[in-house]
Amino acid sequence: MRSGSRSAGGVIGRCVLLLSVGVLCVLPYVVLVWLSCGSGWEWPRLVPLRLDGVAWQRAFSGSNGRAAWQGAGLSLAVAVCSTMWGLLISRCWSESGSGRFRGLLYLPLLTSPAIAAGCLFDLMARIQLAGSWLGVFLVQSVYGTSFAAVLFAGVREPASWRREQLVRALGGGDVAVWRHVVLPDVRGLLPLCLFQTALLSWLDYGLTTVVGGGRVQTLTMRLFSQIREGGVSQAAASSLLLTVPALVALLLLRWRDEGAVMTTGGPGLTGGLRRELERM
Amino acid sequence: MSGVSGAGACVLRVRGLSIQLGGRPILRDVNLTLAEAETLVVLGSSGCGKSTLLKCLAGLLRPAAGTVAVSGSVAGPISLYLDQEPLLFEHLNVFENAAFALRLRRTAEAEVRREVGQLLELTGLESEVRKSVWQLSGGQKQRLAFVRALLARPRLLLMDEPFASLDAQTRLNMQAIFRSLAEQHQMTTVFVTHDVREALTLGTVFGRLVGGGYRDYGCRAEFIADPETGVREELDFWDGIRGAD
Repeated sequence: MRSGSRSAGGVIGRCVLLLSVGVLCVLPYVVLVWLSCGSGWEWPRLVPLRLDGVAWQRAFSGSNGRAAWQGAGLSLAVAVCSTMWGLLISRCWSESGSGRFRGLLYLPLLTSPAIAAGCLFDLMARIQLAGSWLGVFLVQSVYGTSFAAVLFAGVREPASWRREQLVRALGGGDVAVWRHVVLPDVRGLLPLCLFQTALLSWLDYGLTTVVGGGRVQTLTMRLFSQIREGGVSQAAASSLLLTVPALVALLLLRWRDEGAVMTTGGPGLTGGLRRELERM
Repeated sequence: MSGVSGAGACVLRVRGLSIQLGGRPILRDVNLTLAEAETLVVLGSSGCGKSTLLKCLAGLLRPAAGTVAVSGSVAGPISLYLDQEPLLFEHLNVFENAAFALRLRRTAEAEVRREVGQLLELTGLESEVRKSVWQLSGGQKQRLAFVRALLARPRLLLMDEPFASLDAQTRLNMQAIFRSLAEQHQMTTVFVTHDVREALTLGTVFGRLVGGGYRDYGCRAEFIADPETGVREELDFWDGIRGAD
C-alpha cells in the first residue's frame, strides 16, 4: 500500500516536473507571439492595448523587410561558400595529416567573434571592406569555414582512402574521386553543415556590428536596434522571425533522417554514426 | 627465380624487390615473372607479407629496393588490387557498381548493358541489379567486386585472399567462377592465399613466401612435392577421409 502510494507520488512528481519544463520552454515563445501581435503595451499595463498585428506588417516591409531578405541572402552565401571551402580544406588536411594544421582549423572557433572582428577590422579597413557586405561575408565565412572543415575532417576514414585509390585504379580522375568518394562520404553531413553555417551568419551580431560598422543591416542588427529603441512588439516579431530558420532546419533534418531510415532502411543523415555504433 | 610457365608474353617482372614497413624488413630480394593468362598463386602463412607484396605490386606501397614492371598496353588500368573486404560504392546500385569502370571509359550504353548483364548472370547476380549494395550478402558483395574488377580489364589482377571471409560453399562457387572467367578472359592474376586447397584449385603457377623471402616452383608437381607447402599433408588427409568412407 505504502509502495503503491509512493509510486503514484513519483508519477505525479515526474508529471509536474515535465510540465514545468514544458511551460518553461514554451512560455517565452507564447509571450513573444502575444507581444508581437499587440501594440500599445505601456508601463504598467500587463497586456498590450490592442492585438492588431502591426508589428508583423512592418516586419516584412521597409527597412525591416529589407534587412531580413539581405540577411537571408548573406546567410545563404556564407553557408554555401563555407561548406565548399570547409570541404576543400578538410580534404587538404586529411591528405597532409598534420596535427598543427588541424589546430589551425580550430583556432577561429576558440576566439570570440567580437574580439576577432576587432582584430580584423583594421585589415578590413585597409582593404576597404569595412562597412561592406563583402567584408562581413568574408569574416563570417572564416568562422563558417572553420566549423565546416572541422566537421568534415572527422568523416574521412581509411576505407575512404582505399576507395579513392580504387577509383583512380579503375581509370577515374579527380572529378570521379569527388563524385564517387568525397561527396558520398559527406552527403549526410552536407545539409547539417549548410544549415549550421547559415545559422551562424543569420544570428551573428558581433562580427556584423564591428566589421559592418552599422552600414550592414541584418535582421539580428535590426532586433538590437528595436530593443534599444523600445519597440517591444517589433522586437518580438523580429525575434520570432530569427528563430524560424533554426526551427525549419531542425524539422527538415529530423524529417530527412527519419524518412531515410523508414523508407529505405539505408543510411540516413546519421547513417555513418549508426554504422559506427553497429560496428561497436 | 621465375614463377612463370613461359607460355605467353611476360606481363609482370619483379626484380630484387625488398619491402620495409616502419623500418622493419618484411620482404627481401623477391624475383618473379608472370606470363600472360597465368594465375600465380602465392602461398604463405598469416603475417608473412602476402598482402604487403600485393600492395607493392599494385603501387600502393613504395619498395625499399627493386623494381616492379607491368608490361603491355590495354584499355583498362595496369593493375587492380582486389581486397578481402569488397570496396563497393554505397551510393550506386549493383548494376552501376559493376559498370563503374566502363562508365569511366565512356563505353556505349548498349555495350555496357551487354557486358555487365553477361557477367552478372554468370555470377548469379542478375536478379539483384536494382538493389543497393548494402542489401547484398558478403558473398554477393565479393562477386560484385570481382565482376567490377573483370570489367575494368586490368593488365594484371591482384587478389588478396578475396574469398577468405566467405562460407565454404560460397567459396567453392567463387573459386569455380574465378577459374571459368580467368580462362574465358585470359586474365593474368596474382592470387595470395594461405589455403593450400584454394592454391591448387586456382593456380597455374605457384610461389611461396617464407621467412621474408620468395620461393617459386617450376610446375605444379614441384609445388606439391615440396614438404614445406603442406600440400602433401592436405592430400593425405583427404585420402584418409576417402579411405575411411
